[in-house]
Amino acid sequence: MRDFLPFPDFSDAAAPRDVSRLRAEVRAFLDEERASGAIVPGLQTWTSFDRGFSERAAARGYVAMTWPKRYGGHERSAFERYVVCEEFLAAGAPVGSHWMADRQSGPQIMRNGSEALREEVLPQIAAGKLTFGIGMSEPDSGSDLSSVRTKAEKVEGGWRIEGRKVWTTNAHHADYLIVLCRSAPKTEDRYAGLSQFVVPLDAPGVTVRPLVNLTGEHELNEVVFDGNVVPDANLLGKGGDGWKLVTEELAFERSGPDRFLSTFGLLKVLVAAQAGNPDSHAAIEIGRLVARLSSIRQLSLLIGDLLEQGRSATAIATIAKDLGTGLEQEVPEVARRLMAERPARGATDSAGALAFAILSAPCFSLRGGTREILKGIIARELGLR
Amino acid sequence: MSDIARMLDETAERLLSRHFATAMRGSSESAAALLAETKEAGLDLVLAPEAAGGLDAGTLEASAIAYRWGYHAAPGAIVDLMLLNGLSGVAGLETVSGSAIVLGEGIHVGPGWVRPETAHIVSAPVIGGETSRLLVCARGGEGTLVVAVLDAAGVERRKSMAGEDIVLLDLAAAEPTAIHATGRDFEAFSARAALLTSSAILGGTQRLLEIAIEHANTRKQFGKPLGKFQAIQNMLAEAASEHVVGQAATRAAIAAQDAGALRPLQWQSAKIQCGRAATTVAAAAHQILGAIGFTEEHVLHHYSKRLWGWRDDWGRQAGLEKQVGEAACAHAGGLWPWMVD
Repeated sequence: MRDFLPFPDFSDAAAPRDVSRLRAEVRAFLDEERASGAIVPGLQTWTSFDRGFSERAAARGYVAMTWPKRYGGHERSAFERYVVCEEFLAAGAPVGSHWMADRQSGPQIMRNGSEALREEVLPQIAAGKLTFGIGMSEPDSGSDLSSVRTKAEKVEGGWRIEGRKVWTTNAHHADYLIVLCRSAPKTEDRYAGLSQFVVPLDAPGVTVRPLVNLTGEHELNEVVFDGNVVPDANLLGKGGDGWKLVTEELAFERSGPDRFLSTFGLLKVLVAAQAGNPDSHAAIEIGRLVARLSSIRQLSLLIGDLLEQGRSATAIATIAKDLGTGLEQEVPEVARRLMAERPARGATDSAGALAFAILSAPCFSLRGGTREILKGIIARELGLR
Repeated sequence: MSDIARMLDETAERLLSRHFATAMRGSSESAAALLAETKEAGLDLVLAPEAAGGLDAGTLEASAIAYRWGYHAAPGAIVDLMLLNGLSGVAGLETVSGSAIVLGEGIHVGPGWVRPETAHIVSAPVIGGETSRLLVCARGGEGTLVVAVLDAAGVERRKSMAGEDIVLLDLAAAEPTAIHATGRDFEAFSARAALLTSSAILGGTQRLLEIAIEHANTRKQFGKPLGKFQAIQNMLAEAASEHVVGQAATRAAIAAQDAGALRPLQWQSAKIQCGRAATTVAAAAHQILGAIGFTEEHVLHHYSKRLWGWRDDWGRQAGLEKQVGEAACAHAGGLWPWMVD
């Protein structure tokens, strides 16, 4: 077995970093947002869209924290960004407007975008004014992304796009979508000939239609590209290397606090309901969840450190996501067994939080790579042949 | 400090590899010989005060040794032995040899011995052949570590699942012969004991994963290696995941303890998680090794029996979960800050 994490850790790890001031600042900001009604505890996740919240967060320097100043960033450490992210998520803040762009699309453009594109979008993302969507899945391409059929055809000065993307979060609010296309005919190497493009959604020939999810919310969409042309500058990478870019991008989305805090709002509700004097059974169940959360968070923090040092963390990042999303799903299951309430959709009390978590839970182990895909990656990394 | 840890890790690995090259696993002769070799190498004194001839080292150093013991499924209660010698010469505990040591969970020692009202049975591994005394490590006034010495001569002996001797004592029926106030922190002692046990578990789960993966890649059924079946891949992925998150939690807690910044949630979570890893990894290894692994001649059972015991040593899994849950509920108004600050 490959040693994913050396144990014990002989590396003389750096002294614990003091981020208490940053946490205090972020919490003060979140208190203001709660007071103004922008945060509805227990009923929001990191896909909840609120452009105003994102702009106010950006004004405080909480978006694009690690990016270079010339693109509107703040050149803070990855650990400081982590702290802000987990504080936002633990508070249940509606970060959906900037989340994808800050976590995934912006860094992707920074690494593989043209200079013109960087200058066009990065400062705007950093200001909290742009929303990005991820255009990967298609009606016939879920887990098997190499089978995408959306086509990019080279034309004078750009690329003509034709096809259909589905289950695209917040596309109806988004300014841009990063779209995975087949840009060269399929060969024996099914991962070759794919490319990613940054596509403005206000272009003629692009249509966004709602796909209402089972909670009754409109967050998912179908996006149809009917021959719209994007300029050459909007191609990411060299062209044809889209699969490599996708894989890199997914490594960044796997191990963050958004993969274990999605139902933290309900956990708070559950703990509050038992506050005074939990019986032994409730204490054990809650303790099990809290201890699990604490352990997974330590793994997530450790991965953050490794990525910041430029080291690869494919296996353990995949593990963090698989276990984290499993925990997110376990919270509503434990809560429904311990709480007296019947779940009530849309209610602003604990019954509403319970319903929201139960109804949202199925997607935790689907989005960004299903549990089965994750386990396959872990098995491969374990050396199972 | 990590240089010493690295050196101890290498010494322990060398000693155990050499021992198991010839030793007959599971025999009491082997266990006795290993204890003698351990003492000769001085590995038992890693936590002992310098005045008692020890290294007075930190949790990381002792963790390296415990991990190696787990990795080899070595006999002898190495964690107990290191902790016991750590008390040697402390507050009048001049002689610790010939003693067994146990955590007095739920026992509070006031100025004097507070006898539990109902039967309170504890068990501890016998170190070497003789156990005349049992040292109960309990919480005293102001959270200090108090060691109550109980006479264990002639008490009932049983076998642990791994077949090693343990003594059994009812604290409600016993009277201490001495009580030593060490002035040390009880919480820090419990945390260290739990983290060393976690380290032993992680050594065991690491080796079991290696054994199971090797077997899955070589054993063929239906014309292909077991590792080609998705059900097997998923089982091993799940087992390895529990191991890895246990490693992460334990690494962080050990580093925090050695830096003097450990919070109860951290070490309790680490021990709880390692207990879960022990269960999951042992189950997966047994499932994959099949009937071969259910025989006494295969090495697997030496690992799984120890893992099944360590889950509840120095911090019972469910007991710690209860403590975490109660603490969380006591901080319901600020659950998140309590967890991370």
